[in-house]
Amino acid sequence: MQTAESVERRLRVSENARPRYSFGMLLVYAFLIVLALFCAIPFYLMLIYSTHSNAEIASSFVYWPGGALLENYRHMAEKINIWRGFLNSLIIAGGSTALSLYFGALTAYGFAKFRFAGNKTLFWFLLATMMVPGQLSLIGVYRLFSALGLLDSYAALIVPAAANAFNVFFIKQFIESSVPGEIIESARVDGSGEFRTFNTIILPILAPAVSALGIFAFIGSWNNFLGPLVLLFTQQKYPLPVVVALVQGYYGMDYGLLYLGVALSILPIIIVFSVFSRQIIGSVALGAVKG
Amino acid sequence: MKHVFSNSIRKDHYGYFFIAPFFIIFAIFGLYPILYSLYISFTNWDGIRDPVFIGLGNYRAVVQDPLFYKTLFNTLFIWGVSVIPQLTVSLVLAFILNETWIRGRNLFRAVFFFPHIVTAASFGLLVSLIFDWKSGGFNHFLVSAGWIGDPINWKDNPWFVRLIISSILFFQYFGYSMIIYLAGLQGIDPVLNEAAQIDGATRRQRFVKITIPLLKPVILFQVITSIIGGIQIFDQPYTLTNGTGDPDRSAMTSIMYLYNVAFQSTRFGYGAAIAFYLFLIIIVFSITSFVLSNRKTV
Amino acid sequence: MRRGIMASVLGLLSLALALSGCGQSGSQAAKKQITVWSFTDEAKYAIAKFEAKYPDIRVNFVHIPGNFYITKLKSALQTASKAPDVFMIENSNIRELIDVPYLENLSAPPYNAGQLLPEQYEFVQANEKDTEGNVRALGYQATPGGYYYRRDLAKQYLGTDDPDKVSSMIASWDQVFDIGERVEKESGGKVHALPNWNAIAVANDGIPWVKGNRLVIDPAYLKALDLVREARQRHVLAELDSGSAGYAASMQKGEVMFYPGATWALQYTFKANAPDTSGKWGLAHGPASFSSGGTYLAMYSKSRHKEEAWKFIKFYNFDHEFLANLARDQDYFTSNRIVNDEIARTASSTYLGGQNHFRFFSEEAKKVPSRQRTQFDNTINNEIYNNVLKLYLDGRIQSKDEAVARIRHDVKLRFPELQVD
Repeated sequence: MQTAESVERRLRVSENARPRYSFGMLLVYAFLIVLALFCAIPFYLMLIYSTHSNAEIASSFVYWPGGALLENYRHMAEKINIWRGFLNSLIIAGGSTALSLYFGALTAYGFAKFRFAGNKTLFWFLLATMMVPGQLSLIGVYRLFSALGLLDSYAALIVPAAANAFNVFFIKQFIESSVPGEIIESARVDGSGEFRTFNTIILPILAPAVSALGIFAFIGSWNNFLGPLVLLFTQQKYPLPVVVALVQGYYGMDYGLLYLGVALSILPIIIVFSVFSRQIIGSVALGAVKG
Repeated sequence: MKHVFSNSIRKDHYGYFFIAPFFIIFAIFGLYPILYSLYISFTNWDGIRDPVFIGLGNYRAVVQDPLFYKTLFNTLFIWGVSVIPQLTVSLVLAFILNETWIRGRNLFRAVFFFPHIVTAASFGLLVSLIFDWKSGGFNHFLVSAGWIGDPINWKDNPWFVRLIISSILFFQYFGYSMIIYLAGLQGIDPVLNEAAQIDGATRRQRFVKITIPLLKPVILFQVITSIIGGIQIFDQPYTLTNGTGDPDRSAMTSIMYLYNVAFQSTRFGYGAAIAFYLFLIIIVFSITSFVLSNRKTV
Repeated sequence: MRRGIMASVLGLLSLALALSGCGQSGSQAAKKQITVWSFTDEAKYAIAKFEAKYPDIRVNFVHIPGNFYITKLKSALQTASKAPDVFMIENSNIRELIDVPYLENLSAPPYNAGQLLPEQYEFVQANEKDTEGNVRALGYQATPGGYYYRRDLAKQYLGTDDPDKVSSMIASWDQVFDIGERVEKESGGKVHALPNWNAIAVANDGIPWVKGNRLVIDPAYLKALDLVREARQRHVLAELDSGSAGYAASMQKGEVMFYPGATWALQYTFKANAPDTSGKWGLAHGPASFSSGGTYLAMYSKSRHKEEAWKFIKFYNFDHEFLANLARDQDYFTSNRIVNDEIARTASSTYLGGQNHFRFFSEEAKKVPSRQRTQFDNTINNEIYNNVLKLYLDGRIQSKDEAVARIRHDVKLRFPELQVD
């Protein structure tokens, strides 16, 4: 009969019995490192390109930093206001992420913890909406906002984000596996209203899953190019990807400028991600996807 | 606890209130534009003159359009060549990085995720620059290393361009897939693995007999979302070929074709019809994968 | 901590919504206001001058870059939502839009543009009239082309950098190819005569493809197929895509001898990409007289400020003082013959080594043929023909018969309403 203790001891022994670094392990590490290098190279190249002038980039394979960074920056600042683009991106990405997370959680909670007629059907419908290609509705969206008078406004980019089926799906999984019904019951017994229960009790529990999804949603919104391009008119409202695209004049392309703009637009996300990576990757796990 | 039981039943209709905002917003910003596009698909609207109803004319034209089939082929080829490595390599990676003996796990996970963060459009531009015929870094490197004499016109070969795009896609998504798999793996009860280990199962046996079957829902989820995403590949081939899909539209994906038709030549009616066909194809593929995966378990 | 998150979320939300409110049309000032749309921002100069001359009119300029300009424009014109009063149209779209009823008829009173038209070059006028002969748009830009060349390379390989002498040496494609072959050999593959196949194809720009609803394949287009093939075989082409980084770099380093370019290329291609090579360039007449590009101004038929809009359009096209300033300050070759002839008397460009570029372009502008293009021409040329040309060049289409068949097939598919033999 094996007790838990003896099982544990046997496992530990068998693990320790192996030599420190087997050949297989070295191969694995090598594979990981090579892959990681491949992932890092484009970023490295982008940073390098942003420090060179257009001519240098075009005429030879550059792989060391050059001296044209300041000049590229000056040129870029003449053409576009990248900091304004930053601010716009922040507003749009922040607003739409917040909305999509809040309403995603709200909807997921409704589906997960309330057994109402049509729950299953409506949920399948929600999943089906994920299958519609975004470009299909683009022109309809344009006409709609035109009719509503919401063209060229931040609201046009933020409000529709509230209906994000992907978020709902994930959070629902999380709720089903990590939120026990008892908490809700006891809140009800205490006389708390349903909405209040959601805001004060459920939401905090969802924090890890929500923050993980938040990063994905934020990145997606930050990199969104087609939407703002179509729905915004005035240059002061353009977010970063569109602003960077403006660097390309109508008559030609300056790669040094372009990559400086791209590098600047990626930097904040990389920083945020590096700082929070442990929490993010850890908390995605908590939202374990089950069938 | 009878009173608690009946309490929760009485509260169930609150669910409607919770899900209502989603459906309202979707109805306005999601459903309405789709229905509008549907209406447009039955007209010959060009964006500026008034729409004229032409019935199924657009739908018939799409069926006879060789470019529609060519771009569909391009899309499926590019997607297929990228998704198979993407989903398998990321699974292996997730498995490896789930093992506790690897040092620097979090660092690796973060680095592999980095390519996903880059705007797809910038990446296409970067690669386009690198593979340029006369001024691309790749050719410069090959020539200076002495491996080739003259620079090669990489972007001239349709198959090569498709492969480049597939590689970019693999690159940008394998980290993302890996993280999703990691989440799934960490949902597997470690006791199962330990029990198998004690019974003498090798790593590979554990992987194949325990991990993969338990990951089936995750794998299915990844396959279906990747189908949905795959049909919509746009940013990378667009920026790589500067919107042209050259050579001879071999790198033009279905959505690129849609964009070209609807927004560049402003044939909105025709574009809408194409979009609906693509939607149908997504549905068919998704249902097929779902059915196939469920059949195996039976 | 959680309260903080909620608060900041709500804060962000309200900030977003508040900011979305800002930026809408502000207070109704006492000034009259017109909205002008363009796909480039070069109009800023004109707007500043215009507002100085007409202080009671304010111009709201909207610069919409990129490929979405035409879609947004069409949608705005049709829905009248946030529509501009005046909008620019590029040469590639002008024939497509010229018959659209949303463009105000400028031949009619009170505009009577027909009376002002003769001040412009003939080939520009051809683009400004719709199928009934009414003026619907006015183009302030004239874009005759020339062959920009590097003086140092000309001296080295041709023995002279004098524009007239160089012109006589490149009067035919045979001559250009001979030079190209020689130059490439002598320089060990470093220097080429032409940048890419487009340098040859652009000479045919504007030759009509459609006459009376029927596809017409002009022999010049077929000849171009053989020309580009020959050029590639004889290493005349540097194979650098127009507008690419390599193209720009070649200008800076002097790796290509001749770049066909229009008037605007001086400011926006050469000076923009190779500012340090000022003085090293010249302009020569080459194997063909062509025009490339062009920007036109049109008025929205539903505009509520037509009087002010017309003032702007008229100013941009026919105000001699403004046009002269524009020409001098920005080296801008406008469509106004009178102004150009005047400036041509004394103009000179430092960038072009002191050459009188206005006289050059004035001569060229009078040689550019005036052509009747339709709304199909641009698509047939840029999408269908150029694609076939590239395939022919790369050897994927072997014979000219195949090329012709392919052109016919693609045109039939794309424009079922046309008659294709």
